[in-house]
Amino acid sequence: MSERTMRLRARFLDAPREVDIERAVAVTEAHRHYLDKSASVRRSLILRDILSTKSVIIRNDELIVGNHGSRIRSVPLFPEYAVDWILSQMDTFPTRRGDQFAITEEQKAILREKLPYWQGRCLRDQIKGAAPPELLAVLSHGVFRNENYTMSAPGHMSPDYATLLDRGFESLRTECEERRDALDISSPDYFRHYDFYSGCIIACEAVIDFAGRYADEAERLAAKTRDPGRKRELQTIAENCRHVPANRPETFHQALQFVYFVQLIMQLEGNGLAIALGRLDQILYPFYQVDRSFGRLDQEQALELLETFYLKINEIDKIYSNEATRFLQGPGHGQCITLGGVGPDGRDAGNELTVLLLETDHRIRLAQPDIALRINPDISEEVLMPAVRNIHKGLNKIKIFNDEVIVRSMEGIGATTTDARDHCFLGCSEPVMSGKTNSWGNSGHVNLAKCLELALNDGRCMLTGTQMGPQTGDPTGFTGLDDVLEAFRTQLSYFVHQLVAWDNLLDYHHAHFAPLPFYSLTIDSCIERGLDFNAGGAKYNTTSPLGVGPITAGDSLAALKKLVFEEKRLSMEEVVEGLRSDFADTEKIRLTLEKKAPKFGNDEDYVDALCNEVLLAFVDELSKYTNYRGGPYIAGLYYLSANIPFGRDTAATPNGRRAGEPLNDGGISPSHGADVKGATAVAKSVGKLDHVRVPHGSVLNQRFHPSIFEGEGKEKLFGDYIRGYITLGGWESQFNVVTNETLRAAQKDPHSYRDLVVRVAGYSAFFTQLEPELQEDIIQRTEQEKL
Amino acid sequence: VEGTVFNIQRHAVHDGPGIRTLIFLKGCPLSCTWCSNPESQAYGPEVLFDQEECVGCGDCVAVCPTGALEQTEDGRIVYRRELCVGCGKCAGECLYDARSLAGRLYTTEELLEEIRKDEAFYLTSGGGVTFSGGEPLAQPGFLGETLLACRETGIHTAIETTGSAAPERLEKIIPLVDLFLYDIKQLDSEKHRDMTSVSNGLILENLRRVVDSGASVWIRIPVVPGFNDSVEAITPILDHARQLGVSRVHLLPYHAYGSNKYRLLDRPYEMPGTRGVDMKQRVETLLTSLDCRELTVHIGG
Repeated sequence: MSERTMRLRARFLDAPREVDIERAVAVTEAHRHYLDKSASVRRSLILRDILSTKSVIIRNDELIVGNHGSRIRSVPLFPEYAVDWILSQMDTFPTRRGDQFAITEEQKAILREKLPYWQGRCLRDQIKGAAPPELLAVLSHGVFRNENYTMSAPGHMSPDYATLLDRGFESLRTECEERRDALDISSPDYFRHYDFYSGCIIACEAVIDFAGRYADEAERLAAKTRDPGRKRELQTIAENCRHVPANRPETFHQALQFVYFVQLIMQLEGNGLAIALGRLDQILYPFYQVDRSFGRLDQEQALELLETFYLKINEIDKIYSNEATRFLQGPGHGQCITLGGVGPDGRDAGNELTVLLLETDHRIRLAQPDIALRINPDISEEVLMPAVRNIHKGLNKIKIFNDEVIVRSMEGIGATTTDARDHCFLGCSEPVMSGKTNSWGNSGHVNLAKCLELALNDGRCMLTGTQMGPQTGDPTGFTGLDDVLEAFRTQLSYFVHQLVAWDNLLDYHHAHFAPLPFYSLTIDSCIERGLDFNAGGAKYNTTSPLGVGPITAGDSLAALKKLVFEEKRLSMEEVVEGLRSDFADTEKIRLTLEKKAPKFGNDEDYVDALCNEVLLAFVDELSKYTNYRGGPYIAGLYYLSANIPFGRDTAATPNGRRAGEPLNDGGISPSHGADVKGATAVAKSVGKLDHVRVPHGSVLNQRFHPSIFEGEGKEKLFGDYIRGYITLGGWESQFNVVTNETLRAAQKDPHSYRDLVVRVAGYSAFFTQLEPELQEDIIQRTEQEKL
Repeated sequence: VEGTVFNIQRHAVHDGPGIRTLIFLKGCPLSCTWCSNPESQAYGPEVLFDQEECVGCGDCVAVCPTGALEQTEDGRIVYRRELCVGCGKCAGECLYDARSLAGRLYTTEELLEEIRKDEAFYLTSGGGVTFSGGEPLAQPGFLGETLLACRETGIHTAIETTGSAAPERLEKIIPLVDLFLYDIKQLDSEKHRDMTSVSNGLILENLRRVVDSGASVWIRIPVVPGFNDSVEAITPILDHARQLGVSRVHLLPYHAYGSNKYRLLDRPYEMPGTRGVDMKQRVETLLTSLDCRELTVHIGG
């Protein structure tokens, strides 16, 4: 890290997370003004007002400029989407359990005065008001949920940076003007397109003017400063902001400034989770190369620019409601950089910049940006090894992805081969065709384990007795696993059907009441089609709900199959009674279910195949439906922490899990501690799942004791493990090299950490089976290795 | 031919090149005081019994065919090892992880199937299978047949051996092994016998045999406190390696990770306490005082 970056990083870390009300005030004032305007024009005028009134700040040492809020880590509010949670929960922001934010009395007073304007007017209230009561009733059971899309714009997209950088917003404005002028005014769709292009034109101007405000500020500061070095830097910043994002960047520095402006404005327009940065090693490479070849930039300078860029990315933070923080904890917001992977010709496209972007992550070590590394068999060791080094050094956010499987999966949902090869990742594990997709990622969760619970209780919740799903019969009459599976599919089918109704209702509202002119400028083919991003303007449109607890459900099916139907070691009566009573007096039945049936993650076909059944049941249900934008419903199996709240609402399950305990984490990770045959066995199990049919992706969390890296050449072997994992067909994985915190947790809860292996020559020990004194020795050594 | 295997560990990265599957064969002619696999020493299957985990439910008593298990009036389970035949029925019944069986029979086909499970990783990493123990040469027929099967499948084979085996057994195995991980613990025969129960004469003879055959050999020295953790003890081994032309040597720091298993076998753990001693640190220090000319000396596997 350069000295400048160290100062910037320290300043960032010292800054408190706090609420910012600038945007909330601006959007409220503006909305009143533009009530008589058509939807797109109104939204773009509001954006213009937000950008022209918000504070413009250039701080010491900064090379990339743009401020999300008025303070380093302050978060804007978006009351036009949802307002009640702000008014009713703001007193708890500084003290609530997760993700605390400071807020002053003065700020609260202003919000209390201004925000009631949005009650009944905000998108969420309109949705709730419009929804059929029967649908709201089913929604209230909590078997499926989608609150996310009532709180902000859809997000879950990657701007088409390659095109944007190539053209600049002046060129886009001209195109929109030409297209608007060319419209046939007698066409029935005339006004729809007229409104759209008019909105886009205003948005282009707003963006260029916004950058101009930074140029003015930089010039003002340059005139004031006595430090000649800083003066030169400020002059460069001013030049950059006059030039981009209006025009194609001329330098690497300008390209980064361009990207940051777009990234910032995407957030300010409609918020939205998982606005990805795309394949920056490919997108920025031409600019990097030119600067390098002219000798204008050496590697350290490039790294310093990237370091400051990463820090600016970290300033983009978000606040969620108290309920939502249960699902999305922490300061990561899906601003993901995708690295490596193949080019349009299908050949590995990793380059020098790939390595620098990994090196920057190693130096900055903060929660953002997310890093996704695409792996194909031809990936070079020059790219893979720095990634492994980062993993070894505890950067557990890096994710590795299977290029070949994902390209095939994208082709499976209708992408051209060229577009499929150009996929990038959003926040978790979901690929999109770069700059061409409105993915509606993470658009709802379906609790798969709960569907199994209902299947084993004639559609009634085992915790409350409420009839939630259809009546699928008394489980004690089931004569084989097929009966269980049929009941499970019937329950799942019912809830997916309802979720689709709910998602389409949300989609309708975004399309008609909350267009996004700026988003639309950044996504292929909105301009060509004259359609808003929210109205189906993107080249690819999907809706992508997530299944929660597929492994809990699959392990449960395996236990029923083996212990009830095959070995008859347990009867269905006693299992169901055990589940209903949470094994109150039948702990031995629970232990039998847990210990005497195979579990996913151990390379056992018996159970791996049943987990795949669960996955395919979900996929098959979704494949029946089309979304409001005309695209397919596709499945995802990943989540941040949704397995915890959904687990709380789920009774005991036949895999031996107790009522209320979390469901399996990540998406397709083995149940905690159930994978006791090592990482290669996990890779085998995961490789057996039909990933191509889950185009919205899955997450596998894997943890390793640092001893896996002890000795010469072990980083290379870890890279070889990754290569093997990819060969076997897994979709994604992320790796956690455990710290002492985890080892301490394992001492307290050995059962959930049975998988932790301390590796040495000749004999590898399970950490939890070691004597306490030895565990202490290992904890102390792990601490030393870290230093 | 069937063999007795007491453990299979996948994704091993410290026992030969690449990512490997470790097959632990039961039975060993040595009984080293520091042994981290005490359940490897006897030739037949054995039950490990963890009294601390036992809740006294009695399920095991009900299935024991030989009366080796009894429940006392106060509910405790009494286990009489001398009556146990190692059938493992009790372990199959136990829900509390209190009883587990070390040693089950595998046919060569079954074992090969297990080994082949990680072929994808052998391929990406240049790994393979390592037979360990116990002393793998203690089951020569089974070992030979399985090595041959691996050979025919194209899997890289290694054995981790004490070198304590009849020469004619060893000779048959040598052509089937791609790499020997050969333990040398002490050149002083007296001291060797003290801590391992056998002298090192045969072991050193066999090492020469293996080397003379042209096989690849890595010498592994378990560095054990109070036994050979000194320049005086290690230097002769390094000299010997140089003389034989073996260039790769691994120093394996002693660890006590196997100590809990002695308790489960009702055996005393007789290693003097090394608590608080960082063996890795000690071996690193030791290494700085060693003459490593012509050798590549690694710490750990």
